[in-house]
Amino acid sequence: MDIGGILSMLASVIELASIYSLVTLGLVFSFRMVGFADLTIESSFTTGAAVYAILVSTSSGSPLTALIAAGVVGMIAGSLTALLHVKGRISRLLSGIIMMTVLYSVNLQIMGKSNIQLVSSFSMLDALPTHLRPLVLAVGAMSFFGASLFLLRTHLGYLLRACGESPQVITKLGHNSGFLVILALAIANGLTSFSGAIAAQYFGYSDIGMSAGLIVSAFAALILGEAICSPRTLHRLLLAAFIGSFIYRLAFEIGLRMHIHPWNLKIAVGLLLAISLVVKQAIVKRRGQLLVGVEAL
Amino acid sequence: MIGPNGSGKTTLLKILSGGIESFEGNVFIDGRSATKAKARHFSRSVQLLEQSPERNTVPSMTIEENLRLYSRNGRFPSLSFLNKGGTEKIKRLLARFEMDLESRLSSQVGLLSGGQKQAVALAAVLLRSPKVLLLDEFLASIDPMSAPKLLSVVREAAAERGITVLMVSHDLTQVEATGDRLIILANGKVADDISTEGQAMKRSEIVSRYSVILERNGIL
Repeated sequence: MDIGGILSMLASVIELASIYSLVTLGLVFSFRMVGFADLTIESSFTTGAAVYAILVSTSSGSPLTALIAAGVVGMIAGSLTALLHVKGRISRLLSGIIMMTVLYSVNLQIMGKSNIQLVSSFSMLDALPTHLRPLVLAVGAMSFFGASLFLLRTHLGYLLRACGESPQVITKLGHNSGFLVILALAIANGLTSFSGAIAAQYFGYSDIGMSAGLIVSAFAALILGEAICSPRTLHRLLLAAFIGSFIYRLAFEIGLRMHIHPWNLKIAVGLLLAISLVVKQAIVKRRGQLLVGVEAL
Repeated sequence: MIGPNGSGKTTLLKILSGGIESFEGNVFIDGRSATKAKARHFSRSVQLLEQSPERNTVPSMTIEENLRLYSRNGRFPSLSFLNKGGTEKIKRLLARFEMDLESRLSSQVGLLSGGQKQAVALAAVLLRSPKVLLLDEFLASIDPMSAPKLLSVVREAAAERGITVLMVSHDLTQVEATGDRLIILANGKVADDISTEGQAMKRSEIVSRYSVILERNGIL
């Protein structure tokens, strides 16, 4: 591969990693903070894309409004999953499965068909010069990570951290852990849905199947980052989610360039996840470390 | 408070700390009924510390983060990390335990020893200035060197700040050294209530009265 090819590959890695890193960031809130193995994201990503696509293609809504709307719809979806668990007393895994299934139909209803092309609509990303796109997307993603770090260092953030690890402490402090679970899932799915909307803008379409396997790849990115960063502090956990997203996407791109048969891509992702998990556990055990966050899965 | 297994000690402490909401009767704190109070109100005046450190503190959070988590009563979010003023207060409080905790504010609580974990938990609840402190087998699983130190901090704090302490323990040495009143529970009822009026309780007396109750209830 020539230099130009490598550069263009790196640019697309940065762009895609920045977009999908928001899903990984969502996992920090749902999986790691409140310990909720939330499968909703498998569908709420597409929900974000669908909401965005339908708003920019049919109405005269601006892309910015459509992005915000996508985020809000995702937050509602996440809250509903959490409510099924908190109020309906359905198990965490099943609550996620129920919402994931329901959202599939909802996504079809939103779009009215299984695929919407956005070729003719105005997109904020298209307005940017190509060489600036990776930078803008990366800075955008970083600002979300920065905001999350800020939030998690407030008292509310402390409560979110305590909620998954020591729920009894939340009770002792006179707070409601149900509320914190709802909040965490709203944030996680809001981020995921927002990420889906950006992805729709980036790819120029929204498709009902665009988030298939997303949970595994986002989880793989998180674990990969954690295996590298050993998140003993909050900063390192967020850094792990960020770096993991990039390394995962890079590995994925390299895999594609090495002409791994598309059929076998999921095998590669599965192997990568398994290896990362084993490596992470081995490092943690050997160093006697205590990592930030709960092992939701 | 002592009593055989299943006599209702933990249940009573849970009711007193607002952990159980449906029960017969009433809880009064400072003469005011607390049963109708919200969890938030409860958590300000009553603090419960349990045997398992994971139920009192968050293991992956540092000593300082745990104390800051507890130190705030109000609504969130507050910018905990911007408030550096409280650090001196936290250090002074930790110094009382003589475990060198004040120099390890950024250590994760989960990596400390059992005694140190409970010391952090005790410091944390003291920051909330409770009126009532409930200790449920609080010192049961920590080393015999740390237990007396923690107990003496509890006693000092109770005297200084007028905190009412209700301690459940199986360790008669602790009971003997600590209380000015001993309640013996059996089958969910107060079987004996001994006031010592400032005198140290004799272990032999505790044992004999406790045995009588156990026999009467068919436990011994």
